[in-house]
Amino acid sequence: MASAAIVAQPLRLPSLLPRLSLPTLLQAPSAWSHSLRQFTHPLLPRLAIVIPAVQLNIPAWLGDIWESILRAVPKKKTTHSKKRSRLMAGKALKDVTSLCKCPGCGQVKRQHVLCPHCMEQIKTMWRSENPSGKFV
Amino acid sequence: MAGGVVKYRHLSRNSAARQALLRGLVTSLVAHEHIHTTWAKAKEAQRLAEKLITLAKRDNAATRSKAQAILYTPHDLLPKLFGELRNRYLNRPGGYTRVLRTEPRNTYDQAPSAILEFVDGPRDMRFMITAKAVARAQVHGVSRLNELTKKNVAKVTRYRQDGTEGFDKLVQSFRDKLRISKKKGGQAEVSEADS
Repeated sequence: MASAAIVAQPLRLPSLLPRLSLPTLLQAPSAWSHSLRQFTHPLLPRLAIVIPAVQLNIPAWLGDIWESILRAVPKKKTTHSKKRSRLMAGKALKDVTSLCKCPGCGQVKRQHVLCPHCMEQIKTMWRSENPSGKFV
Repeated sequence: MAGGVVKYRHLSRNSAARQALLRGLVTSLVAHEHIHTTWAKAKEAQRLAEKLITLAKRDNAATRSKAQAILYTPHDLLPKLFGELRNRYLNRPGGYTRVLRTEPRNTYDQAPSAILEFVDGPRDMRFMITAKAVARAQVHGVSRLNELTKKNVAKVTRYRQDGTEGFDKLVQSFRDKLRISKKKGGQAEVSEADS
């Protein structure tokens, strides 16, 4: 928080912030700042201190709680149910409507798919005929 | 595969594993006459099985060694391939195998499943189910068969040896079974059929 430190101690560095630190100038009355500059100018050595061009206009007392309060973050963890219902929206199982009557047994079966009941009956017949299932 | 046309299903395997899988499926098919697997694997194994039968029909030294390279147990199965299966399909111009969709074999993954079978073999599911449909129609006094059933009857008896006689015999056996179950079940089956 370099900027906050600078704002907090204006007396030491007013001449080094002639035009760069606009917030500082705005905060102090212009006449007061002018006299300060004149007064402190000869005391200061010609040190080339680089001052950041952009400064945040935040008071020093706010610096410590800046991290904890002012960030926009979710207040609560999204629940499993909420997340799953969001992700699975529009992906629900569809009803099977392509059904027909099996011509072999009369039960309902899916179209273009073998009737499981007839299949099981035939497989049982085959198993009793040839338990090994091999034809070699 | 970027942008290109996929020529075959990769079945989530590299080339060697895919080839091994298909060889295994085809070996089982030749031994058992039908296999129940996922639909995608059945369709891929069907290609290889048709090629194998074509090799058997050509029947020379080169095709024998190629067929031997496909089957995992060639000593057991080559005599059958170049004997029984070759004779069965000599007159048939392709289409030696059939893939029939079934309900998912595995209830956990619900993968689309299918039966891959040799046409006109002893484990021909469509032959059996068509016979069952015809038998049921006869028992319930339906004079006109369904168009699809008619088409299936023509398909399953066309190239089969003693196709019509074998089919009629099977229909008769299914009729007997249905009559017995009807007597046992009483009026339930009849009323269901009338509705």
